[in-house]
Amino acid sequence: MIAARLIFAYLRDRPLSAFLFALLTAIGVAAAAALTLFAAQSEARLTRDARHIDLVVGHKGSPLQLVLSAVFHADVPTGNLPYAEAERLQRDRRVLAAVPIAMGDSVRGVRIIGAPNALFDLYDARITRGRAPQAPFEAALGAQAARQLGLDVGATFVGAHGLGDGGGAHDAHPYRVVGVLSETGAALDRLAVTPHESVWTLHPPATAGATLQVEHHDHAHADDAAPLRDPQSETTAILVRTRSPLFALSLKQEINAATPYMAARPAEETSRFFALIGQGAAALQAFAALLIAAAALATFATLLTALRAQRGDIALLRVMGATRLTVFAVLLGQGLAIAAFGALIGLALGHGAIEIFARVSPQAQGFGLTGFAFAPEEWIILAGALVAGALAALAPALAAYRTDIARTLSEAA
Amino acid sequence: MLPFEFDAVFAIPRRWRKPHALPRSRVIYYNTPVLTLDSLEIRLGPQRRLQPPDWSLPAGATALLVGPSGSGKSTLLNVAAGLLAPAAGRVLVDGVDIAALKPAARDRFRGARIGVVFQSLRLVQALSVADNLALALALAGRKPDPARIRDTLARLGLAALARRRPRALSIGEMQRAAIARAVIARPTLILADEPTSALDDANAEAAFALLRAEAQACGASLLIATHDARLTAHGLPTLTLAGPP
Repeated sequence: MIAARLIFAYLRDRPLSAFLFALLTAIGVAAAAALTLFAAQSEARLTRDARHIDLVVGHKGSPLQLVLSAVFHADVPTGNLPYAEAERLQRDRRVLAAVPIAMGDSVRGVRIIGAPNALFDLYDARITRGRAPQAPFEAALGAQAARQLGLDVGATFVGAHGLGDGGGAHDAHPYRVVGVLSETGAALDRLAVTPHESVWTLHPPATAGATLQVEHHDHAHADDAAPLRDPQSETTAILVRTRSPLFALSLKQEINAATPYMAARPAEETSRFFALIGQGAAALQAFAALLIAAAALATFATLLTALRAQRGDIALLRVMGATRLTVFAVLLGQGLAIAAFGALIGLALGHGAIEIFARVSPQAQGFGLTGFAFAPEEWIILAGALVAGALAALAPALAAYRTDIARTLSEAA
Repeated sequence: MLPFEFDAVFAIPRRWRKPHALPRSRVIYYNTPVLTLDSLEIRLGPQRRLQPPDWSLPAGATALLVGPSGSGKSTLLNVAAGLLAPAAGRVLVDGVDIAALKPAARDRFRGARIGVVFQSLRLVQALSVADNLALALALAGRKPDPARIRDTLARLGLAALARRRPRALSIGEMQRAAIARAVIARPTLILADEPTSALDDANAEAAFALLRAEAQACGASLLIATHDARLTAHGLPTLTLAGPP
């Protein structure tokens, strides 16, 4: 193809400027790609984390905070509620499982969750090594948590107060790892699970007043085989899986209207959360688009200058038998090639940045980031960069198309 | 205006519709004109018109186009090359009314049949000398022919410069490379616009000799527009244009 060879020849003729303008495009594309990857992968992670849970019940406060703390384990809890509410909820016919979880401690970034072993069923997790915890201060580690802590069955660890590093250590009560859980892809992978009694021992609860006033439709269904516990003991939140998503809606309305507690649907809060951070992401995306546009503008300027320098060449090409369309394609192709080259570099840079971020930053690990995955939106970025390159080259290409050869020749002579 | 371009191409059998695919005779008939000016009228300016006499250039012949500055020599060459449409009359190249062809067909026809050598515009700057010749072959619709490129460059004493960019060449070398570029696709007509004016005596004489030799080698007719006395002294057939009034 004659035009393709000429495009290559012209780019090779001034490699530095072609490379610089490609790099300019690359910076814009890299920013857009990294943002897109981050948004897509964190959203996928949050959706995966919340997959098993239809409803969260907790102390009144911000529903988003409740979901963030109890489902994604990314925020501090809203407060406590009586443990008994979990048992009452479990008796509701619409509920498949209601699992109370108690939070408050962590070990080197891994949260220690007080929960009955029903939590494993909720997340469809199995014990791959060892057994499920049965006594206080026995713990089962999520697959990722075990890797992160470097602990296996038989090891011991000491919990620290609080959810981040730097809390006071509970040295008097070390935990013993009795089991490691299978990989679920959900938040459970990043947790250490222990019976509620451990948490109660470390954090004696204040007496709670209120009780959950859920209207029970079928008391005959109630399963009262619950083990004997201190009825005043508290838990932090209750994770609920309903028999149908519709039940989650009705149950949520009932709890919010008729009890002093709060129910929130992770799916709803996640989408609200993304609507919220989506605005910030949109601003950053706009900035990335601006970078790409600036690159296109610079390409436009350089092609226009190049056109002036190449006028003699264009006339000569036409004299040698090139059609108008060929010289048009040669000019347009230069813009497209610069944009395409820049976009490819940019995608590589964007993916590289995400991969490095994922490896370097511990916070990023919670989002499950990787540079080795593609988001469908990246095609849009690629197309956008190419369109920008084509637009930048369009005016010079049209000028080349319309060049009056006879006049250019008389001027050149 | 007709609803579609009903041009001379339609008078040609369908399989010859691509102008550069028109049949070419291997035999040079010295009586068949390669370039014919037929009641031609060319606009030179708002008021000025050039009306060259009816004239024809036989196949294989060399002729000079002379006239004072501003007499329209270059313009006439542009019309002959199909780069400029005449105001009236016809220019026939190999019997084809070049102005009546569709634009893209005209470009391809020019690439295949006409070689042009200019005074200053010689080679595509982004390409090496050899690539310039390869491009000329490709634009003429011919197959790549490295052997012919090598031979042509060797004949013109450019073999060592094949991979050089035009800007690395001297003016004399560049003009020889331009001649190589014009003849590489074996055109039937070579148009040269002041090919020797920028050269010193020795180079001018050499360039003229090479141009004639190369034109002869590929059987092309040669029309040289010039006011260079060094060329007019050769006593070649001449088409003279009158100067501006």
